[in-house]
Amino acid sequence: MSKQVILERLAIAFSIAVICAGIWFWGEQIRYVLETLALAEDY
Amino acid sequence: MDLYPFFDWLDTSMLADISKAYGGVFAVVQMFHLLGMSMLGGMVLVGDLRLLNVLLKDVPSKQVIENTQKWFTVALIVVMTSGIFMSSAVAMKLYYNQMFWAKMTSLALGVTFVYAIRRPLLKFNHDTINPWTIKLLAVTSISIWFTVAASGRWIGFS
Amino acid sequence: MLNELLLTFAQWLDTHQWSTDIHESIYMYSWIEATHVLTLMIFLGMLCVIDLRMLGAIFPNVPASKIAERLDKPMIIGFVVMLITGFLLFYAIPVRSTQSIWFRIKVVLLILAGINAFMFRAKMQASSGTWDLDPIPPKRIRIGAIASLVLWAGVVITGRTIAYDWFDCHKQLPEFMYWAAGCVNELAALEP
Repeated sequence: MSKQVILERLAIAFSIAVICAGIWFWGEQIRYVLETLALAEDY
Repeated sequence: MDLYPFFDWLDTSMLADISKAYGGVFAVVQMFHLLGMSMLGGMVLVGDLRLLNVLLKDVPSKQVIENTQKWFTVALIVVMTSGIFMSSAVAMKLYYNQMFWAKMTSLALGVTFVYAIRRPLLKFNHDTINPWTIKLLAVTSISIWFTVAASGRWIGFS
Repeated sequence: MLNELLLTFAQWLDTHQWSTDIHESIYMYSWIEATHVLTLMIFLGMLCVIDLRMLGAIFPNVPASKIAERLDKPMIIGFVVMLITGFLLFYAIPVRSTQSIWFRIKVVLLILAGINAFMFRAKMQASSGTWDLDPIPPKRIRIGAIASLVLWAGVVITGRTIAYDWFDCHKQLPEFMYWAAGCVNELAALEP
């Protein structure tokens, strides 16, 4: 396999992994914010 | 790998003596951090928006990437150097801060991505690379650097 | 005098419910502030590329006017976001901001940077055909680019130092500083 093909496949795998991690991370932040706001309202 | 000893050392190092003592010095270094960040953002955005075919469409994408590369590295060095200085001022606080670790993780991913994958791949003729892969490179790049910046700012609020 | 006028205006803004709401919010102020800082990457980022081209340090083989033209739209979008978020930040804490020496210097630098940019655009219009294709533009253009970078660096640093209370009105300051920062009440208290 040529270097270019290896890099392309790495790029795709890495990108998908990173984007999934990103969605999880920011999802967690949004969840935390919503929780905090809900608590504030209850208070 | 336990990084506590490193942060403990950093917290009491000579660098920390300077960064903790003078709020003015800290502020000036932080200015360089912000300016470096702006340059980094500019280079990343111009490159990525070109890859996404949004900006500078009549300049060959390889030329855009090549031109923004050097200044990206300059900017990265500026933010990392200023970042280390600022970290020394609040090293122990950062060690226990979740956002700081999120930022460091994203930064590590970003640096790995740029220098080990994206840059080497984009050295090849862009017409021979799958257009969707190119777009993916751009989206990943923007996502990572946005996360580095946003989590970085949020350290201050957490 | 101007200081009294500005303070009165700021105090009036302070009475607005929205002003208080943003200031006392759990997240709103932080998000507005974070957006303001992060948008620097867009606005100043684009400006950086344009100014670097004007210094001949980037894209030497692309006409300078093309770089300026193409990056103009994202830059303006960034600038508008900076203005809106900037105003909201001022609006949330109007009195302290008005009486902040750093904020005042920042506004002056913003105006100077704006004038510089305006003069620059005029020179750009007049340029195409002359130095446009030169990898390194003529000296006056380079000076304009450096002035731009220095002025905006000033805007950024003074923006950051607003948060520090070194020269806040409640501190012991020389009379001239009270005047410069618009500490109207403190100045009045000094009068015999």
